[in-house]
Amino acid sequence: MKLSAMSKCPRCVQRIHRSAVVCPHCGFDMSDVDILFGEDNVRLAALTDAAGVLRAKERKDVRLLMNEFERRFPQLFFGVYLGAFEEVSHLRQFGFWLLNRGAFVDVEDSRSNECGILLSVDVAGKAAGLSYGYALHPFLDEDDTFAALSAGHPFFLQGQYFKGIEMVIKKLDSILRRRSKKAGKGAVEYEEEPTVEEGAGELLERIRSRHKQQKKAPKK
Amino acid sequence: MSIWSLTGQLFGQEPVTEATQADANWPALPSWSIEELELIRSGKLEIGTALFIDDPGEVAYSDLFEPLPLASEAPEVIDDGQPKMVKIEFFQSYFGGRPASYLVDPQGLLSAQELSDRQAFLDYHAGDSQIDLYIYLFDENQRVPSDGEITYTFKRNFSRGNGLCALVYYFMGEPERTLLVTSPQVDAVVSETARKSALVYSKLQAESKSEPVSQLENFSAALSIRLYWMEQELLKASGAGLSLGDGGAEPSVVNAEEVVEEAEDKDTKVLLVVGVVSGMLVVLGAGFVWWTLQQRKSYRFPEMEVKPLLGAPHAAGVGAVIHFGNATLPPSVQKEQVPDYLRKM
Repeated sequence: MKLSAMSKCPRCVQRIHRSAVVCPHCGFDMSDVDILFGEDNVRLAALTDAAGVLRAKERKDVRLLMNEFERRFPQLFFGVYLGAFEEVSHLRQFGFWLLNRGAFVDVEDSRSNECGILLSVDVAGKAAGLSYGYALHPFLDEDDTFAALSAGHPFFLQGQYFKGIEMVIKKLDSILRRRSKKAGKGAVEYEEEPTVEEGAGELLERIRSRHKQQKKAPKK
Repeated sequence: MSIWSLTGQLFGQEPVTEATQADANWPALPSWSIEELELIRSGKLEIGTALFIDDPGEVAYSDLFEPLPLASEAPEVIDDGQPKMVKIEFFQSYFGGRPASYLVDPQGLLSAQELSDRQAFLDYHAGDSQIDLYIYLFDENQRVPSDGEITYTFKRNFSRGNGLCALVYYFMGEPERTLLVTSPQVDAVVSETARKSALVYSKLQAESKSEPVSQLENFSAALSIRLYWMEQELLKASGAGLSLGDGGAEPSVVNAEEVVEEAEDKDTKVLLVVGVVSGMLVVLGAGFVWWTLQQRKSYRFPEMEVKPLLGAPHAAGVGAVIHFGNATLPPSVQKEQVPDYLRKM
């Protein structure tokens, strides 16, 4: 597995270059989410049940699961935010914003937000999403996060949020263990692919795609 | 005219005259007439047809053949496989007293020659050994009455006197059913295990043959050798000053069933089961230890330089978003892929 040179925009979900400052498709950048959710950093716990769907015991159990995750992966931390959003479409952007602007008070200083994984659950819009920091970019992709969310899907459907969170954490735990082992065997595979100068890549792609179209066009 | 002369005429030879035949001192041959010759030449008469007629004339079939013997009306004996008791008429011969010969076979299970051979061997053994060997022969699948059990027979007929002896109940074709009792003096020195071992060895020797008589031959020879070994032990014991007793002790019976080996088999099975269970426990224990170590193990990732994306200082990893509003649709269908700005429109 090699680090892809492409990523996805949190707003338009289109593929963008990993070094893009703004989304070339919709012009999205960090300032857009700052406008939406606030540009100041927010202090919150790694487990925040703003929607109030977890019982006290369940909150305690989720905290234990998160602690176990942090013990197993000493560099990482896992955050959970349960809220009720007015706009379902904001969930992906919210995860993106919170992992950048959130100051998780109960997370050790050694674990920066670059090493965080955030599970955001919209209990009103019935949606859940995962976001992760830069440190995990080489080791996680969208398929992995989808597999983890799918593990919790049956429980989220029934409103069993604790069980759903537990399954998501376990699935991610399993995926990350495999990735860690693989990275330990050949970390070079995860090194970032060499990229051309910023902006030039998209330009080249565009030019080459035109070349291909011209080649495919029938001769008159 | 004879058939030979007639045949000769048929093939163009001159007929043999009557005077020539008379000179030859042979019995007179049947004669043929000229008319018969003409009939044969014309094809109206075939030579030899008179020999194959159905009716032999005045001779009756009953005169020609002796009547076949009538089938015996004796009922057929069906062997139902059940053990049969020794017939009462043989009780006296078997159990009435101390037998005159070393081989007791009142039922005539052996032929005279076989009986003579075995008796000769046992006589030889008795002359050569201090422990006389008495063999009572019973038939296959035969049962001994309770009054004739080997211990009773031994106590009644063999316990008197100073001579040492070994009494054997041998069942023809079934050497595994053999029973052995030895004089208490022998029992005092030779352990039951050793006596049983001797009997089992003899049984195995017998079983190496398929014919019951050959089995008996092998058995008696093997047991004779083992009795000789016992005799040697007796001599050692008496030489060491051990008292051999007065012969009043209760005789003990050993049989040829391989109990010792079965016990060994049981021990082997038990050991096998214990081994398998232990192995499984070890594997489970090792698996548990491995699982525990895996659970306690921590995982690290190599640190890599990743350029900031979209101006985000810490994180730009956009993972999947999934809906859980519809219980009938699979997660893949409820995966959120629609751009936010399209949804807003």
